[in-house]
Amino acid sequence: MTKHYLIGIGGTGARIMEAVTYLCAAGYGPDELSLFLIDPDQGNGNLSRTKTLIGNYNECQKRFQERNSHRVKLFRTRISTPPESMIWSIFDNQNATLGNYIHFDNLKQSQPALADLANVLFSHNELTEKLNEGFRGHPSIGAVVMAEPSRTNDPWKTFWNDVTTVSLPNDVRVFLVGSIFGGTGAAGVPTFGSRKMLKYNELAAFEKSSRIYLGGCLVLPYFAVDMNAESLAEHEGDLFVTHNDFPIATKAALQFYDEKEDLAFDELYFVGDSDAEPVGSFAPGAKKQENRAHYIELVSALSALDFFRAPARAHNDTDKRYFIGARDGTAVDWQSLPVTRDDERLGRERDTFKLLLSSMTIFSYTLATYGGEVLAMSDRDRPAWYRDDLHFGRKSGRQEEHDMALTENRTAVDLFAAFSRDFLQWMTQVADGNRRVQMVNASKLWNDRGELTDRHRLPNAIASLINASSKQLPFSSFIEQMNGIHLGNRGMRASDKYLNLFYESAVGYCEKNYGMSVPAEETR
Amino acid sequence: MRKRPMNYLITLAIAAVSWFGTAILLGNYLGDSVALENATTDTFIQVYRAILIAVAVLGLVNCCYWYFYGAKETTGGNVPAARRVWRLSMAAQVAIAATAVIALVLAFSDEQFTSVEYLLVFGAASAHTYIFFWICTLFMSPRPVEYVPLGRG
Repeated sequence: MTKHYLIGIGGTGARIMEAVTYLCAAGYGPDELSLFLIDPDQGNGNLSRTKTLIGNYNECQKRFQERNSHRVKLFRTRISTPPESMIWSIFDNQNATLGNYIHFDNLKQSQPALADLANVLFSHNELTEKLNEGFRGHPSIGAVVMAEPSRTNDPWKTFWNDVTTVSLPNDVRVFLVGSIFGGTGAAGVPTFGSRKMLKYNELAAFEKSSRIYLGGCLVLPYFAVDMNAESLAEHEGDLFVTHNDFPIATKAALQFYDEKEDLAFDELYFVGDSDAEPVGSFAPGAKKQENRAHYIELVSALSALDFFRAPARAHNDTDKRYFIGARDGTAVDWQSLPVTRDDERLGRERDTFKLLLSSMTIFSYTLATYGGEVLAMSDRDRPAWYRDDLHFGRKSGRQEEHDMALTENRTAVDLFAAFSRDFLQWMTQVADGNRRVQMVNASKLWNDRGELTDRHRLPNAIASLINASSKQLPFSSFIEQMNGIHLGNRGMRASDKYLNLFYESAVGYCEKNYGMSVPAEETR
Repeated sequence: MRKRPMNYLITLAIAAVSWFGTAILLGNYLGDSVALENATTDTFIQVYRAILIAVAVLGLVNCCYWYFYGAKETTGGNVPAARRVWRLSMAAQVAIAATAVIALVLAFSDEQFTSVEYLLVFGAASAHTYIFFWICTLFMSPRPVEYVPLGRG
């Protein structure tokens, strides 16, 4: 079975991984996905958020054991991370500098010529800046320190173990994601894209070709940060870049990619947006660097999934092919997202994507609101779908796992509800900003106090959550869907029943209210 | 059985059978057994059947309203409100049955009935009102209010 590896490099890489994780939760990912992150800035807010998210995803995935039908795609992807560490932080110690890394002081004594070369290539600041908060927009530093990853420690140990166990060419699909304009991503993507690092590394060699099919996504500038004199003054004298530096860094990087012949990418995606939308306050690194999600991260995530899905090119196929996707106007809606490069599958794939993301949105909203409400009710006030055949109670004489009151079952539902809230927040951020992104209607999801809208006060909010033509069916229509769901296996765990009922009803509601449908040839 | 028009049709059929049993068969029996001093047996049977027609129609209307209300999309999301409606309907049906007996007593105020005869008339009215309503809603309530009737879980 083909292995899929997603490697996120730097802050942007972490944010794209966040988007991929949410897409997997919605059921749009591959069956299995291995991933890890590369970032020296362990305290980076984006990185921590993604790390926590993947942990939460795996907790949910582990607890959702039985699906009622093929329609339930929820959390179908098994995401695995290297057991010892899912982040390669590059440096062992906290106060690493480029000077320390290349033993600059020793070089001055033992090989003064090399030390002079280092002095020519790097400024004093670059040699002495502490790198535990990233490369501060200086990829030349990153390119040096990322060139020798340890094969005996995770995540690389697990990665190379997986690669060497594969017995077919191109059977490990590796996708690198990072920004072209920052520090870590801009250094890491070309470094790991070079021939000897991954694709034609001796561990990946297979007869005359490679076990690795290598892809990458380079994210061009797409956001701005809110800068004020205070925040800039706070970091005066430090090494950092701001969004004003992105265009020139991008131009230089693109020229590099155009001229560099040592790169071994089989497929490369470039994703960007010319409207630099503000995503948060300026911070050069560490915890403060935590930005709002952006639709470009969703598009980049789609590029990774397209790469994993598309057939590998034949070894002797050296023709270059170019695919271009762009939005028609200023708005970004369901129809503008480049879900696949394959023209024939485009319509079907868009329908599938729209249904899965919409179903996940409805599922998340209903589970986080109505789902909690039902669990808090007294038994006699609960709706028919809950009381059916005493599904969730002990009275049926079934084992405890069929009892919704069992802590384990309640915990599973609570975990899903918490994940659902995170998903909705992410979707809202993607759709927020200057309101160009028309996928979900944030104002119908959240009230002024930042809480999810109350179905009793706004029973029709659910009908407008998704930006699509709607029959304006109220929340009660969703409950009616729940009452009509038939569970194939009534012996499944109570938490599984609960989640299956909510998800199947969400799909049913999307079909009924928004007129969406599962494409006939849907095979995913 | 819980879906329309099935529940409406079965309820109508039960009401018809029940009316035949109470108004025709029980009516004939009462006509033969009651000791009337002033009124004729035919008048008694006519009034008795007219009262049973009225209570049967009210029982039927209440059942149909419950089916209509229970099948409404908004009902499933508010089970406590549905329970209130069911209980109120039940209480109304008991009151209708009692009113039926009182109506018969008033119509024949100068006659003397035995307590068994009162009980039989109340039983007949009950069969068309709260008992009828309870049995029909117990087995034929729409899905959203399936568990609302007394004795259903």
